[in-house]
Amino acid sequence: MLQVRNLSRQFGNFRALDSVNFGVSGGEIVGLLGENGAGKSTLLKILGGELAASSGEILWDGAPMSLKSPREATQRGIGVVHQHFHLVPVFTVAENLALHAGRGAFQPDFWAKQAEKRAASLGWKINGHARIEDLSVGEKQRVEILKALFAGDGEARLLLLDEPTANLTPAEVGELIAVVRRLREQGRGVVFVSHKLHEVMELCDRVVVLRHGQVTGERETKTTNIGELASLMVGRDLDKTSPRTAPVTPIGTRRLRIENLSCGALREFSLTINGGEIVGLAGVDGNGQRELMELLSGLQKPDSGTFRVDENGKAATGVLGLIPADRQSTGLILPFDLAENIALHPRPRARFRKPLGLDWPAIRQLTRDLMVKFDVRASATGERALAARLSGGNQQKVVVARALSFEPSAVVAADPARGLDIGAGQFVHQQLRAAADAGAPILLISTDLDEILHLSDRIGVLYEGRLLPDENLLPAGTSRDEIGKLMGGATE
Amino acid sequence: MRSRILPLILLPIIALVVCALVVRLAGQDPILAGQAILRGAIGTPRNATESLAKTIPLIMTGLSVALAFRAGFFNIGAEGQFLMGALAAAGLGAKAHLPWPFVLIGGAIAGGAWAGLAGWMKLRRGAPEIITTIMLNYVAIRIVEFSLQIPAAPNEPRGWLLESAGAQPQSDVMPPAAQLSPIVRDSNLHAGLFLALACAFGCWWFLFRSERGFLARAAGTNPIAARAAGINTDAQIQWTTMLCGALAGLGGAMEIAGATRQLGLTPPGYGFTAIAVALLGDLNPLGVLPAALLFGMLGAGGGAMERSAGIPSVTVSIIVGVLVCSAALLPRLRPKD
Repeated sequence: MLQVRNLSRQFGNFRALDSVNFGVSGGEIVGLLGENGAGKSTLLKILGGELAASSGEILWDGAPMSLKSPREATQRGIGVVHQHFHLVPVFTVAENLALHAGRGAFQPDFWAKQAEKRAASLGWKINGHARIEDLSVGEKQRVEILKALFAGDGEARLLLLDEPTANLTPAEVGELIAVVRRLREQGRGVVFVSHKLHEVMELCDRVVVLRHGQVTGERETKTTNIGELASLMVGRDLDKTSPRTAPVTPIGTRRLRIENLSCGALREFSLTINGGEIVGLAGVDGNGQRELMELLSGLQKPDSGTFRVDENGKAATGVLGLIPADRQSTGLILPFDLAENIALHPRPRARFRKPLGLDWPAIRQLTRDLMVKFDVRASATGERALAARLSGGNQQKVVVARALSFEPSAVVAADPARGLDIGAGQFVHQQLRAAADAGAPILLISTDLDEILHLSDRIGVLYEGRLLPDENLLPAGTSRDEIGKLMGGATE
Repeated sequence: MRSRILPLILLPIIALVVCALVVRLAGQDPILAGQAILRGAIGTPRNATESLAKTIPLIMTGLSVALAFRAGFFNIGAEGQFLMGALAAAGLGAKAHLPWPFVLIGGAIAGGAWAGLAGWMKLRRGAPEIITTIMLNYVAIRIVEFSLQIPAAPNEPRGWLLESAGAQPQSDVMPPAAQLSPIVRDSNLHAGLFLALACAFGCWWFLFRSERGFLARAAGTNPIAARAAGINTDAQIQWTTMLCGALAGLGGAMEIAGATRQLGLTPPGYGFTAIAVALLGDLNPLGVLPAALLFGMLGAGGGAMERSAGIPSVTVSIIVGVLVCSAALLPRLRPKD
């Protein structure tokens, strides 16, 4: 159905895709596996008509095809389901479908019927007159799939799903997998983009692995295993830091105490973390993680409740080390250079405060030292490079370096390894453990269960703004299934 | 660095070419107009001093705008702050007969308070400063008019600053002790030039060396990251607006104490040109200096052109307009890649 030959895409000096070859046939699910930044999204954008290729060709039913716009892709019969929903929240399901189809007068009942009919053919029920904002995340995604199925005058024959499971609970993932199988039975081709190995193994017929823009391997799922795919993905065999199995004994008397915090989605959240302990907070995105992080970083005032770091009953010295989830908007000032971003921390400013302003040469030297220690790679301009010019991984290392280098009283880290390659992620994890060993209480908020399982001494789950199972949390070594159930809201 | 500086040099050149075309379309000879402007700006020592004299208020208001923009406060109100500074200066000098240091300090305080008002409204109620500062300009203009009102009938109120003669809507002339001494005899070029230069270097130090300036830039560039880093962005906004207003107000006071020597009715418009000055100066206090000089020369040259070549001085307005538009195209204003 679709063949891609020697497809390349250049962004300035950066080669996002390098001579990629792959194909999809009708009635086949092809997994596109790769780490963040491997080129999955770029490939998908080219196939969906959002980006033009720099070189190479795309064959559609054997004939060369060049797409100039997403609409053209739709007309050809290629439907895209984006990771982030492209739906108008205040419109109904029918209105969103009509908006996508985009022709003729709007007939609410016609489109509602269309939606319901198609949903039925895929084995679910949907109310075509329901407003998008009233739907759950899983339902919204179904609307996205329905939308993608409407292609020009006919139906989409090829569906591109971009990380469709990223925001779903384990139960919803199961339902999605059933739907994708149904699509295959209907004879459609499906490209399933993910970096989650077990999902790809479970669902796909064939897997294409991307790394640094190149195809590093193509396997039938029947003849491969997770270990092989993982090593294709990261370029070497996984050697993860061993997970903790026994709880540590508290170091010192420092405690991070969070008491009855409420704000928006977060409700009466209480948690005490001992010095030297890493508490992992798992959960599907949108269950209060953002509010908790904003409260702890001082971006929001709580409706009620308090948090503090104390030692022997007194306030602990040092400031809270923050690794926010969104490094580009909350962690860094992108138009500032690296030294200026380090100087956002009060400690270096206090240390290098002179009568005639800040001692910038000393701050630059400190920044250079940190760049060496944390392996931050910038251009030749070193610490004078603008944060905006760094790759995502290097940006994250700057944020981590700043959070952990100035004797933090406690550390709050949200998805600290997101967007990093395995090596850099491991390094960040080691640094977090080192901070814990130095006596800091550490709160790890992550949507990546593997990260939680590997780092945490105790594990809790955020579900609808509450802490599950209770303030005593789960011990390290709790099974993935048990945590997964709590993430879906099950309380025994 | 080169990529930033090159457009700063190229843009005025391109702008001048566009200007020439527009002047041509308006039925004037662009070469002749250019020559006349140049002669008017630097043709004689007298003209050159006049250009420099016009540069001083542009430096002060330009610094005000540049500093404010760096701190994330879109100060369109330098004109109003300048006028309030001028008004306070006239009150303290021409009315209260205080010596010049009080005149200048009073002008700075008045300008600072005027801008601080807009900052306070932004923090207190979230009022967008682009609107409040523009509106405060008009309020300032009306306050000046009110202060210089000539009674039409004996029982009508008289402006508190109106000259003793009451013939023209202007204040009394500043007493000598309240004046800034001229650098060149019988000219409008006054000792305020040195103060303006000192302010430019001071602002540069403040923005790029001092801790307060760093915090202000951080709060202005990315308030969310600044707040997450524990910086009190509200406090930064409040007091940097006051600092910016003080610069413009000081400029107004210097203008009254050194150049015009009395307060008149017509607002000179320096506060608006200041936006172009700041942008053309790349929002860098040191860059403001040459940009202010350029606009000072255009201002002085325009008047001379009308007198000598018979070309209407509106032509200069066209040139200024083109320059402002090209300043808006500078890379700084585009999103960072």
